[in-house]
Amino acid sequence: MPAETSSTTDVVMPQLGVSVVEGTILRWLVAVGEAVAADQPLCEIDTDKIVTDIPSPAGGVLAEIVVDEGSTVSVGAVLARVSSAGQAGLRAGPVAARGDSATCVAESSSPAPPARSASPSSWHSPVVQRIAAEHGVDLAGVAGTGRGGRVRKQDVLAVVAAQGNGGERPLHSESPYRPEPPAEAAGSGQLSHMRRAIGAHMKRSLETAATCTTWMEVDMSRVEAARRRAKASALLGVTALPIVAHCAIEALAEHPALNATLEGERYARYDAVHLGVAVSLGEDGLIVPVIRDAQQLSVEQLGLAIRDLARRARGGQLQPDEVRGGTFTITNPGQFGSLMATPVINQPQVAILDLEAIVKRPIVVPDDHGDDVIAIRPQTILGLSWDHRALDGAQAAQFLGALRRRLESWDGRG
Amino acid sequence: MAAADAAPELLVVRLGVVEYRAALALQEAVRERRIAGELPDVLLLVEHPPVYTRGRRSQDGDLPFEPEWYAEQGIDVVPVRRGGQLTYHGPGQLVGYPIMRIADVIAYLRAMEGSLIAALDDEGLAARNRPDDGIEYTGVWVDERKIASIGVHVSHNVTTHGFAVNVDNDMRPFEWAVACGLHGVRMTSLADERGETARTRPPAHEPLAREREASPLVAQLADRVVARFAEAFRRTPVEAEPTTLGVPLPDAARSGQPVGRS
Repeated sequence: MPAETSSTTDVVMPQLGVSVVEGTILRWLVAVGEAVAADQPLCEIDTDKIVTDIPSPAGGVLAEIVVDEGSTVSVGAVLARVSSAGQAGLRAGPVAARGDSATCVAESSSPAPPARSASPSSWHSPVVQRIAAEHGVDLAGVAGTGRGGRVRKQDVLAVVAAQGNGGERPLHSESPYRPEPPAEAAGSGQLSHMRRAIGAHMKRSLETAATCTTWMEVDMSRVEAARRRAKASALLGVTALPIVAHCAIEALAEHPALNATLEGERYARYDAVHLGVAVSLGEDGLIVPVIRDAQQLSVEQLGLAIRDLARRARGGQLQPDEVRGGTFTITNPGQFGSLMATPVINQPQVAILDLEAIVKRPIVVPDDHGDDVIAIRPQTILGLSWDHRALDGAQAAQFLGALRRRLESWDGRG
Repeated sequence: MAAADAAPELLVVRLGVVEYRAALALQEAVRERRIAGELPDVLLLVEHPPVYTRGRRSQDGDLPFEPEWYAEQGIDVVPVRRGGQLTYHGPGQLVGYPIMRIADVIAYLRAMEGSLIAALDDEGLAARNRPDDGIEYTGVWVDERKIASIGVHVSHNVTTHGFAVNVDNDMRPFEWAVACGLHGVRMTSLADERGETARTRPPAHEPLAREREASPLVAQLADRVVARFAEAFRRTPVEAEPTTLGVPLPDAARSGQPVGRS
């Protein structure tokens, strides 16, 4: 072993604070083979709220970049290695082609370098080691594409992917259960931004609100009769939605506790009803445009407003102000034939009304003499999801009762 | 200068309304002089015209409406070299860029949060920071609502970037920045918390125009932030003209209305 050995110093991801456990390399400021002074910034790391440069721990030459730009590593991970100054061979570093410089350093100045860098491919970053351990990959058998044959994260991930489901371990070693192979996907890909946004919004609602759902059956005979008349005169849309919306708005005036928002401990009731109406965009998702001051609109105006918003929502023509500021929301899966669905509250509102399919059913009604008879009536089930942090079941049921009274005595006024 | 044991100076420079890009160049120039030891620690106070800044992790869907629509509103979109999400700055928001030599970046963040909490407390608003919730909760919060965002850049132990407190700004641009008004964090402002309509909010039929009368509430909070910030970092605040910085100034910074004390 020659007396003159090059000493290399590891550049590690620093611990910025207890809450910072990893960082992303934003960019390298120095190329491999370039001379660096002690404390000269080598790279910038990003930890979401903090971008900071990493100073060189010693003067010398940047011998190796271990972590590439854009990669995220844990605190303590080796980011790079700096060979100390004074090595004649290293001075030639900048001349060497970048990709070969790590090898160049090892050959020209360190015939017997520290064990770690003797064979670059035998050292593995913590991230690579973790992935390998999790998936039972033998790193010795993985072909590295990094500098000097180093195994990079994508190399080990490629091996994991190639293993497919054969490498999947059972959920419990003693369990006879083996996960079923996943069905052949007809199509796959990343979720759209809207799907992810809807997902986050719904999860947040379920995690935030104490969601309860109350159901009530309603005889829709009079509403259906009004719809038939209206269809004949072409005044109304073909759905019961505008009538239900109109009656719900009136019922909210009686039960204002439901026309409200709750944010943290801040509970606010509103006089005006800014009515959100869920509009399906098919596979693309769902959007809830808001009809402002809906309490001022007649049934016909509500019907027109709903149709207009739905049309523009599906055409992607809504203005930002039209999808915010709602105080109560109606969703209408019944148009697709559903009987019962538990709606998720549209945060920060405290209640959402669910209109289901109207179906003819045999029910018991009083006849003209006050005797019970079985009659065929168009029935529906109204569902109301409400936030138990803001109100109690009695208020929810009273609201639904008020809504039912209005629907069952609907006289076709607008 | 005479008293050797006096707290070190903090140059406070109120620049008025400055375009985001110009403020960035200004910070970098001041940082050069701070690194070289030609300037003491500096606190720049500005307001920005409406602008979305997008970090590397911002996605196209973060601005869900047509680019023309944001342009009509007069909101600029600036890509910035940092990680993190999209943010918004606009009139009525107090933006502070401390350019200071620091030793510990986390201690620095916490002290900055503390100074903003104290300044808001002076205005009668109880706010808090969330050091135990993780680095992504850096900033100042009122309950679960975020009132001030913080992001810093450290180079040669000298900071740039800083804080943005929503004081009296029109908050709608925050709602326009994620699909269908859905978002993980609800933003709030001092005016919102008081149940006031932002003085900088234009009438509904007008776009978010660039020219806006300065809010006295921003000036008032700026004074409180200066006092509390200096206190938190044990500095003596010294109000200074922009020309004191000895760096090229954007036009607006020379002619613009200063934030606060004029």
